[in-house]
Parts: sequence; C-alpha cells; structure tokens
Amino acid sequence: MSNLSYLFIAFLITWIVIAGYLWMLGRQVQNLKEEVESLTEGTDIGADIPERAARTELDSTVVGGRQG
Amino acid sequence: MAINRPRSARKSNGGMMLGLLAGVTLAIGLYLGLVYAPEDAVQGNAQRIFYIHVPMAWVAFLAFFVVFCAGIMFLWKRDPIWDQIARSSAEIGLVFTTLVLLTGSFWGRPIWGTWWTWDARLTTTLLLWFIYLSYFMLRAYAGERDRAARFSAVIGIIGFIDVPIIYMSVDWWRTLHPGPVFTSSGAAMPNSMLLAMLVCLLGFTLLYAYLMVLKFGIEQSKDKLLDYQYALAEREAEGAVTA
Repeated sequence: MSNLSYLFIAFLITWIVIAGYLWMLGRQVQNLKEEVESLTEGTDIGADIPERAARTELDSTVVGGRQG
Repeated sequence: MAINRPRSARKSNGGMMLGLLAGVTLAIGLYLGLVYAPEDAVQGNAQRIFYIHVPMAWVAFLAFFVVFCAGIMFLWKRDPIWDQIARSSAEIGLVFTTLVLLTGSFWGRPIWGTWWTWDARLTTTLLLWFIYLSYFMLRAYAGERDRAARFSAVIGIIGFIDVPIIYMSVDWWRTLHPGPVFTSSGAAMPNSMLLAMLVCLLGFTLLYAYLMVLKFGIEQSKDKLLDYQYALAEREAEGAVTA
C-alpha cells in the first residue's frame, strides 16, 4: 500500500466512526422521545406531574427536542 | 414586543450552531492539512494523519480531564448533574481514544513498518482505553444508580493519572513515538503545518463541545425519565395496596 492509501483509510475510518457516533446519539434522542410519549400518554401522570410540564421538561433537556 | 422563546428551542439552536461551527472549522482544517500544508520530506503523505491524530488525542485528554473534575465534584457535592457530565465526557473520550489508537496504527505501519509496538506511549494510551472501558463496565454491573456514580467517579479520578504519564512517556522512556509538538522553544514544524494543525485542533475541540451538549442532554433526560418511571411504579404500588 502507498503512503496515500494509509492516509485515505485513516481519514475514512475517523469520519465513519464520528458519523456513526452522531447517528447513535440521534437514535438515543429518538428513543427517549418515544419513551416520554408512551409514559405521558398511557398514564394518569397529570395528577402529580402535569403531563405538559413533564413533557416540556424532558423535551427541553434533549437537544433538538420537538418544538411547538 | 419581547417574546420569550422556549428553553428547548434556544438550547437546540445553540447546539445546532455549535455543530455547524465545528463542521465548518473542521472542513477548513482538513483543506489546510490535505492541500495547503506541504508534504513531509521524510514521511510523505502519511504524515498528514498528524492533522487528525494529534487533535483527537488532545480531545481525548480534555474529555478525561472533564471526567476527572466532574468525578471530584460528584464525590464532593453528590449532585447527579456532575455524574451526567462525567459519563457523557467519558463516552466521548473513549470514542476519541479508540480513533487515536486506530489512526496511530495507520500512521505507524508505513513509517515504523508495524501496526503496533509495545512502545511506552502506545502502551500507556492502550491502558487509558482499558481504564475508561472498565469505567462503563463498572457502571453496567454496579446496579443502583448512586453506587454506579460513586464507583465510576473513583475510576475516573484514578484513571486520569495515566494522562500525564502518556504525555511524559516520550521523555521518561526510550520510545519510537515522536516527542511533543510544542516545546519551550516553539512549535517544531513550519508555519503552514502549524496553521493546519491549530485549525484542526480548534475544529475537534468544537466537535467535542457539540457532542458534549448532545450527550449531556441525553443523559439528563435518561435520569429524569427513570425518576418519572420510579414515581409511577411507586404510585401504582400504592394504588394496588389501597385497592
């Protein structure tokens, strides 16, 4: 392999790993949103923790949380 | 009329801006490293791995320094926010240490003629990787949240001792690995290479900050979700008893 091939592979691996990690974080955000939805929809959580407040508080900590 | 935008929207936009800034800085840094900076007279194009290898090593050290500080703060204050910061930074540090080992291997093969050697710098870096891998294994097996946080804070603090050892290893032992880039007499490279390296360093530091914002938000939400689930389970249990 030439020197250029090692350079290419090193850069390729780096960006694949970083992109993969970002994708994984995106999946975690999505899973959390789904869990929040199932928790607030299927329960009477409004008695002690108002549903909207609970949802807003959880969403606000997840960057890119659904707005509106 | 002043309109107060929701906290989530402000935080989301701030994170996006940070990500965008990191992306642009990294793109400029890569252009400088791959096109603007001259080819190394001895190592050829393989030397350009330096523009990602060194900044990623810096980010890994920075991440473990944050784990170290947050670990101390957690043991002192017992505030879960410090544990959330520590575990977010530890995960990012582990990703970047993995990349440092991989890119170092791809740099070492054409220059040293081997993928791996039990050199002081390489061995202590591998040790760091294992320390932070054990950090997550411990968390997984510790069970109760507070106990996992306490144990991992101790590992994070003790594990950080390896970072100055890695840095000094090239001075303390005879090693194949090159010495520090910055010395008391200045940078050991031409200005064009230095510029490319500094821009990449800034880009990777911004990327670390962006990943921290993302991961910290996720860890905070996970904890809050667990709290709600516990509260819900308790309420259901109380309901079952009264019924």
